[in-house]
Amino acid sequence: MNLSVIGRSLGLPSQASMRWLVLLRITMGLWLLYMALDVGGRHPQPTVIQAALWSGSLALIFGALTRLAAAILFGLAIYFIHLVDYSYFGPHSFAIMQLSGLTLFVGAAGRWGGLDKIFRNSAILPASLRWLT
Amino acid sequence: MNGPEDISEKFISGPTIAILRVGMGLNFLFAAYDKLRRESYAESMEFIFNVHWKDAAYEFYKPFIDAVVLPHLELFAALVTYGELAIAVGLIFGIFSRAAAVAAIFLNLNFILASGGAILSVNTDVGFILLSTILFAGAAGRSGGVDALLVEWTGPPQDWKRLLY
Repeated sequence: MNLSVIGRSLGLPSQASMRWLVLLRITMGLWLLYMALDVGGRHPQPTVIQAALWSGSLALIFGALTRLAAAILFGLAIYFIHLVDYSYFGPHSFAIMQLSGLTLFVGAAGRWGGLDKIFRNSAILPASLRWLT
Repeated sequence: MNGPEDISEKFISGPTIAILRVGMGLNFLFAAYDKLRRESYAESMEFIFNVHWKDAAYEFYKPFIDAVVLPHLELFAALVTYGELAIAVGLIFGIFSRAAAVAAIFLNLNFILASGGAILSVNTDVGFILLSTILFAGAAGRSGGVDALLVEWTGPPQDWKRLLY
């Protein structure tokens, strides 16, 4: 087996694949928005959780500080897994949130069609915080 | 929409879709394993249809459940179990990953129709359909999967082969 072939495949730029991360990012933003509305209505949660749901949702939809938002998505999944009265979502839903959070974090999904593209190329964000984009 | 602007970002893209692919594959593997270790998954299916999903299916789908699925539970239990196992293998190793993604979409769509789940919700099956769509569209097996070798050896797939990898 040709090792260079494997190497190329591992580093395959596949920008076409990356464009589909935009779909994942926006949909997971809408997913959090649904949860924010649902949590606010039927299952009240502490203010910090509601704030995380709303900020995570908006950040993912607009692609702003996406890595931070992806970490919030991942953290919210862990939080909700341990909530008995919110278990009707089912454990697989939270697996989806965790997996998506991980993918969006590694893929820095906001750089494709999101505000992070602007953040990275301007002085709005200090250099030390650019890893959040 | 612009792509990555420097060389370091190119290394982000390859592993990203592979993470999603393998993670999804592991989800299907655990689901299949859970069914295989049971004494009879057909009995579990019968229980699900008669208790959890009783009369919940979409109206147009009910005749299919009553006339085809319930009389052949053993067959459908095997189809679901080994279907999930095949999807898991396809996604984890990136072998015919687009075909595996289509199968995953088909399987979860049937779960939604049988359980009467809402299409626009944060339902598990809806989530799996979304992620599978992204894996299909992104040809996920070409990033770190066997499909990448197939493309290398045989060139980009043409016509109907694009549904496979």
